[in-house]
Amino acid sequence: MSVHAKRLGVLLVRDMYGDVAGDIVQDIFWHGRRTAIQISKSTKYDLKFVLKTLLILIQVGLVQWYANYYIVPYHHALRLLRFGSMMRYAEAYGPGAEKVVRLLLTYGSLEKARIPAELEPLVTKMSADYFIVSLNRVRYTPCSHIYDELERAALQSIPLKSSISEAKRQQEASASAIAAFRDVMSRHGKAPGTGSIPLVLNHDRYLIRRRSEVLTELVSLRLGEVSASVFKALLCVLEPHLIRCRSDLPDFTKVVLPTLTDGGKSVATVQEILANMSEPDKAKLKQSIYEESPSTYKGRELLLYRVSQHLEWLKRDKLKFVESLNGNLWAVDFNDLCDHVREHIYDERVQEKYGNLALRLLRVIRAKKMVDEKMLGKIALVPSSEIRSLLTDMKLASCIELQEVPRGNERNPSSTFFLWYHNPVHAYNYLLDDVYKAMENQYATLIAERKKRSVLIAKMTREDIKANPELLQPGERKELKEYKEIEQSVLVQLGRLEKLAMIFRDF
Amino acid sequence: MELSGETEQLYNEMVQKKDHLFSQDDLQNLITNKDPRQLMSAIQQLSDHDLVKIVQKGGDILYQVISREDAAKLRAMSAEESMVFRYIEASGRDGIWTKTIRAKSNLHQSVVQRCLRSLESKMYIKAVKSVKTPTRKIYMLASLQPSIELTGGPWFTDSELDQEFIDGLLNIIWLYIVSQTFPNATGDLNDILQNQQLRDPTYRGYPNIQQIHRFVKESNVATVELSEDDVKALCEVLLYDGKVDYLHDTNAYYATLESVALQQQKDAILVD
Repeated sequence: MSVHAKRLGVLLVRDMYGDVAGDIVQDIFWHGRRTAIQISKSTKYDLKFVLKTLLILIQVGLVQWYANYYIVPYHHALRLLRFGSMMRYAEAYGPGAEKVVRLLLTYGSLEKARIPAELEPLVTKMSADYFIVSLNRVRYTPCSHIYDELERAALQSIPLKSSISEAKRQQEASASAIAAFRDVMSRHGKAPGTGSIPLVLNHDRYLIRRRSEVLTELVSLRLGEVSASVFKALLCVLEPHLIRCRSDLPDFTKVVLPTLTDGGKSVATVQEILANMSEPDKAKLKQSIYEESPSTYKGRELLLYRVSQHLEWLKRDKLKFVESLNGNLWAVDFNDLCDHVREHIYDERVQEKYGNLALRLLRVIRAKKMVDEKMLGKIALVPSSEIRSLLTDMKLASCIELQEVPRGNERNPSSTFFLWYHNPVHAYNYLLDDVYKAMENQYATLIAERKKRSVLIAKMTREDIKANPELLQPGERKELKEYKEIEQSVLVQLGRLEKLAMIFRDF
Repeated sequence: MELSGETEQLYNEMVQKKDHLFSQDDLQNLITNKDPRQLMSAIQQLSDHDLVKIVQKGGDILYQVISREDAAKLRAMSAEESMVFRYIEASGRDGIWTKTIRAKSNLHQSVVQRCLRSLESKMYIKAVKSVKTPTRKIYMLASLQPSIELTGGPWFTDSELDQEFIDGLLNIIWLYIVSQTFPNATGDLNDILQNQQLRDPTYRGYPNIQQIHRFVKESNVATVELSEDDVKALCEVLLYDGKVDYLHDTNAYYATLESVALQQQKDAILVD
């Protein structure tokens, strides 16, 4: 885990939940996992005070309790950054939906009864879409705890008899507990929240939406708007059946994350895709291919033919957006596709930072796996003198690595092959670290700017000023305007960086 | 010094096949007197006049004729100069490194340098640069053109990679592929971005290497002769740049919409 990600997480928690929460999270971050006593000792806060704060942090989903210690999954802390964009996303459900999201983000989880009555239809709508899910006990209790509890209950239900040995009793209890555990795990999450069950926001659903957005943008860039609308429609068909973006998350995260039922369909027919397209998009479909369609195709048949043609293009593209299963069924291999997307986005960053030539060199290295400088220059048609400095710069940013292969037993540089290669995992982690560093700096700037104008910001919270901003002095108005501009630019920048982090971390 | 009648006849016959390497049997057939002693005497006479040179190929000894002008040149040279000249001549279009001349001839460095200076001033030899070993001084006959290994092929001008030439060719090939990919492109990239019309996925008219090579040849954009492999190398670079994509089923290339948008952005910046 990146140091900058930790620092950013602490900054966010401190800014939103205060210094005590910040200190506790920092202590847990720095030590990996901590008991309440350890936290109390190192932070010098009273144990009761620490426990109370931990309880609140558990409620809002920042801290997890595991056996007798506490941990902070760093991506949970970094989620605080996306509160704004989550509220923006909720707007699609209708006016007032952002209020529901704000409530749930503030309190972590909320019983349905405590949500204002006028917002209930929205909650139902969002629940049906799995944007809000019910939080039952299974979801926030570690698997091992649930199993232990079930085993203990099973053991108690088997009476102590002289005819049954203790080993046999244990064995029976285990078998019974395993069956009960499987049952509990398969049932959880099926019903969207109703009644007094607490509701939480489904961050996975949000991530799936963001991923779809990024993928559609990329299709638009590579194949045009019409192909993008076809791909968007395909994703609309697939989305309700997706649980989460990545399946390689650690177990403790899986238990806590509210999830949908697994085993959903992951393919779509051309007819379904067409049905999910808007009328303006359908109108664009007809003229989107240069060649005329066969004269027999008219009306809906023509549209289906055009959708198939765009799907073929999506399949043919270098990034392999879709795959065809048996002609009419279309699927998306999200793991492969996201790997390609990460590669593509990384290439864009390299191009922005080091120029076109660096991108060419990187792609040659990636295609040839390992290549020496001379061969690199020959393939990329660039003089060796020009590429050496570029390669060194790229090496410093972990974009490429250098492998030394001695020709003989001697470790003489003159008789050694120097082969360049690209290690995507290393390169992406380095980039992610840079992104966290930039985010940390941006957020620290925002906090510093806010601190500088703390008196003015406090004044802005006054009811009379809210009602009549004209009460502010001209100098204050100017300062406020300056602050708003800084805040806006920092937030835009943070949004962009967060999107980049999501692509490399969450998708 | 004049040659005898038999020797003159043999020399004239040999000159007919200038670059041919003659074995003793070949020479025997060229003269009317089949006596081997007579032949040896004629070869000795030609060798004394520097009109023939002895070449060892495999285990055989072969003879190569030298023109009278070249023989006159050789006779005018000192023994060391002649030796150095012969090594340079033997190296052909690949040239020879000064260090190799020194090792082969066993002459002192200063002697070799003096000979090279003298031969160069008489315009018999020339120094060339090798793209592979730019620091080495390589000599070859003044009348010869350096080999591709030495010059680096069509991408090199004066032993330097001609980046402008390559970039120009890349751009021309890319524009050709764009024109073949987007039928509605009327010279303006904006048209492509506005129309955003794709070809039918079954379309087979995208240009392949042969077509692109033909286009480059016919448009006379390159001053040097480019082979299909050279054009393929350029297309590979376009592929790495993300400007074109490759269709495996038809071995053809098509331009990407992304590259058109990027080029259009660049053009807009230049206009601004």
